[in-house]
Amino acid sequence: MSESVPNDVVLSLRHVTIAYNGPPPVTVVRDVSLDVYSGEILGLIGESGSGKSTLAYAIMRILKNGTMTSGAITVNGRNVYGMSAEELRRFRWREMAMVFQTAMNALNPVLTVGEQMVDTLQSHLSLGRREARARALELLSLVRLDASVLDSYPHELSGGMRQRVVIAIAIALNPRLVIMDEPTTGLDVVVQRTILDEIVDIQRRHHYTILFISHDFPLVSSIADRVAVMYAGQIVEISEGRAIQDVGHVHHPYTQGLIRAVPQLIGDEPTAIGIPGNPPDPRNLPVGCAYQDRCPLVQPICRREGPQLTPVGDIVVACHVVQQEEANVHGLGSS
Amino acid sequence: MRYVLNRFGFLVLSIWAALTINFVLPRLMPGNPAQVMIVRYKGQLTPVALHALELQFGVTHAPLWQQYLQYLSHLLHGNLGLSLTYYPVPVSQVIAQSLPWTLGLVGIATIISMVIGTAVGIYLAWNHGRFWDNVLSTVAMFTAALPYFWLALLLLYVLAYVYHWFPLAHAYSTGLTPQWRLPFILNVVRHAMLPALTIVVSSIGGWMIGMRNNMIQTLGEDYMTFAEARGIRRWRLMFQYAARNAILPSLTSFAMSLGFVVGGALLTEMVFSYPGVGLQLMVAVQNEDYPLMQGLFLIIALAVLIANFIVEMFYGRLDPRTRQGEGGAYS
Amino acid sequence: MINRQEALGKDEAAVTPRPPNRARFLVLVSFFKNKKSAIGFVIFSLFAIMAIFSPWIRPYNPSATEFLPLQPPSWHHLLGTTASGQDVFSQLVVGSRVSLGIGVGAGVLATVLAILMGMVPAYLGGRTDAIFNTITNIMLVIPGLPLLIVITAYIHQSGTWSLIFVLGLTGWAWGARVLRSQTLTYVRRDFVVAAKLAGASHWYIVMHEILPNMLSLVVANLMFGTLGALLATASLQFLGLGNPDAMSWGTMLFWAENGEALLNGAWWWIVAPGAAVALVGASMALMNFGVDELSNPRLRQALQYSKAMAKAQASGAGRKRA
Repeated sequence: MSESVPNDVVLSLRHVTIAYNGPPPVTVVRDVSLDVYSGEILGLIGESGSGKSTLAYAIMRILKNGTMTSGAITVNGRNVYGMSAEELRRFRWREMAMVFQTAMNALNPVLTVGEQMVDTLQSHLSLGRREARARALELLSLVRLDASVLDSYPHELSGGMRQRVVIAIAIALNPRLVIMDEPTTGLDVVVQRTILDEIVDIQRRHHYTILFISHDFPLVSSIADRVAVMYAGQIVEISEGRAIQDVGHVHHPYTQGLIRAVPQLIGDEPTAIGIPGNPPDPRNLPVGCAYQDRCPLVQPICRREGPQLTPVGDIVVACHVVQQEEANVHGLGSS
Repeated sequence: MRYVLNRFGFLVLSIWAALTINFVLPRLMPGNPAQVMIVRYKGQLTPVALHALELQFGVTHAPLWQQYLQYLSHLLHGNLGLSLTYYPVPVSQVIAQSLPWTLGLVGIATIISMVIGTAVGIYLAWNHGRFWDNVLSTVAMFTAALPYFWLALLLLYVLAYVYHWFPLAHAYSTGLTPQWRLPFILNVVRHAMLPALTIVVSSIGGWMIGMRNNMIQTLGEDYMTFAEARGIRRWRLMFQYAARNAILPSLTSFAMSLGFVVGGALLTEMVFSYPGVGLQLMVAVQNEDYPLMQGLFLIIALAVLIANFIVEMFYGRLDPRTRQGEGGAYS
Repeated sequence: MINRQEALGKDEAAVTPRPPNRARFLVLVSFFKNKKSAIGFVIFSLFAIMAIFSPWIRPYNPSATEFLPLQPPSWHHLLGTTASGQDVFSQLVVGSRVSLGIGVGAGVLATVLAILMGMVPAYLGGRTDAIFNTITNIMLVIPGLPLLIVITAYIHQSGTWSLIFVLGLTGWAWGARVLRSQTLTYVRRDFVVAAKLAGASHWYIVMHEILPNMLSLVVANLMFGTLGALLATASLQFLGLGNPDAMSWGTMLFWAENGEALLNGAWWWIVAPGAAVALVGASMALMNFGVDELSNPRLRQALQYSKAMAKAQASGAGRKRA
């Protein structure tokens, strides 16, 4: 049904800046602009504290102790921050839904899974109890859960089952955009993999647009069509999913670091090279590029002015060094 | 089921503890208070009654365990001894006459206070940091610090003595005979208003603040954010998601609160000369009527423990986690 | 590796490190910056000063029956006189010693017992914990004031020390329960495990590793213990169960009631001592507000949250209008 909409940008962020309420206010997301297209999985990668979850909460307009100080967020062409409370209530979950990082605690402990699913459906659709339950059963089978789960309480389910319930609730109203904030964190590796496969499978069949947020670099790069890399509240690179794992490809130095940090089997010994240093304190960012103190390629210009996101080949990157190299190569070629 | 058994076991255990405290106290006290009492009442009692009194309070050479078993067996037969103040009326009869008044007054006042306090607490948490939250949570702190009997005295003075809006004392006007007819019932209600008001004003702050703080805690839970994002309607969010979870700790602390309220209510009865167990307790204390005092303490403890058990059963119904015997109130 | 870093970061956030001295100082500063706790502290200090310096503050001998009886408050008698012609203000000043002494003394005793009955067994765990927890729960459900009335009736005109003793002995259960559940969250924390591995004694770990982290709870417990003891003493003395000759706020109320103060219209005789009890009680609750908000980050966060919500709503409304 959604394919017929001509505008294929589902989520659009324009110069989004978010600060946690002070005193003094701390800016944790700075000037983020990003488009997510219909039917794609966009992976958003970053360390903890890079602002990726904050961004997700801002998109849903459920920021707790932070405020979007400037910028605009549009979902399906509608300004999320221009709606009244009731408009927003109706809009959320029908058009955009979210799977929380802490799925363990995302379910009300005193209501059964079924009651909570029916609640969700009835808050948006005029469904009878029986119809709503039937739809809930359908959703449970979609995430490969037994019908008995419907009358279970959250504490009776395992972590993986709860996570599946939360995913089922997220797609209950067939939203165009589903934000998944670390949907598999805290689960063991096998369960993680199965759930991930299920997500991809459901996505292929129903063509949801997914913003997939994670700190797990190999995991994101394995399922995402495109990947955006966040560092210290800014997006430093956007590239194709295929390119992101390729160390030979042109990348932001931080992305290079992430790729090298993934353990690789070379010969008999697994090797992984960490990134030295720590991310900067958001209250006290350096002038210029935020990555300068950890960057092996740092140049004087990096300490003077912050780089802008610029297309370089088939990726978009915010790095003076990469941009200069590209210009040199280009310059040589043309002369 | 395990939960029910568990709580029932605790009920039995705590009743046993109350009984034992009651048995041990007079035998433990320095200066042998029971002996003093017996000497005081010697001339007024029949030899049989005197002997019973000596047995009841351990002024005997029988071994302690024998005394204890006899004490328990007397209790099982509902034999609490004879009141000295109302000699030769049995203590159980004095209690039977005064208990309904207390249950009516304290029970209704406590329920009113709990319901209103909890509802206001929900409202305050929902509007946390706004005007009424600041005003009422400060006021509640002061009312919680008020001595019950002092508030009772002030209300009595202003509303009954100066303005004559309410009667000064007793449960119904002297000269009326108790009967189930409207004029008498209205008279009883009029007499109960002021003591009830005292209990409600003094205890409502505790329920309110407790609920408010639990609710604020609950509002910060992830499932609240998730539910809000899902577009769950406001009222359902407020009651089925927030309040229902927030009320659980309130119910858990019910036992202690109830003991506190009952203690205060007893004093309130004394001030208003309300013919309940509180007033009888004061009479017993003033006359050093230890059998009556013991019986009253037992019946008060029993009432509180049973009320607490009922609330725990209610808790079990509200919190599905207790039904499996995992999690919940006392784990 | 990123994964590892992320995990570490989270663990560190979960474990509250022991506050260094500077942090403790900041806690103290914010206690006084909190309007409620600052007001509470001022009220309590005034009464404490009154109690300590009572022989110099009282204008008259509180027992002397030399004035006109039942005088309303005036410049000569700030709080009027009693039915037997004693100065109420002098009685209030002198009585503050016994009342505050019993309240604070019993509060301290109850807190010490709460630590011994709640914290220590929780730390030791196992059967010890189970037994002590059951005792605590039983003490919690048995109604306190009736028990106190019965005990003091047996003691017969309890003096100051026996009141402190009895109140402390009956008032520890709530604190023990709170401290126990908090201790249970600490026993598995890294710093406690590390201290155990380093061979520190149980006593050292409880007193030097766990207790400092729970200081705000202990302080809150002390305040509520004092508040409870203050109210209970007043009640017992009002019933004539204390020593009616030892001047205190409760015995003032006892004599006022016996002298039929209200029927004689002598409201000041009743109002003054009761208001003193209520004020000190409220000062405890006010100070606790400050302590509570410091120790309970949720309450603090919720405050910020609600402000943010209000702000967001206001700005949202503004945008809509524009």
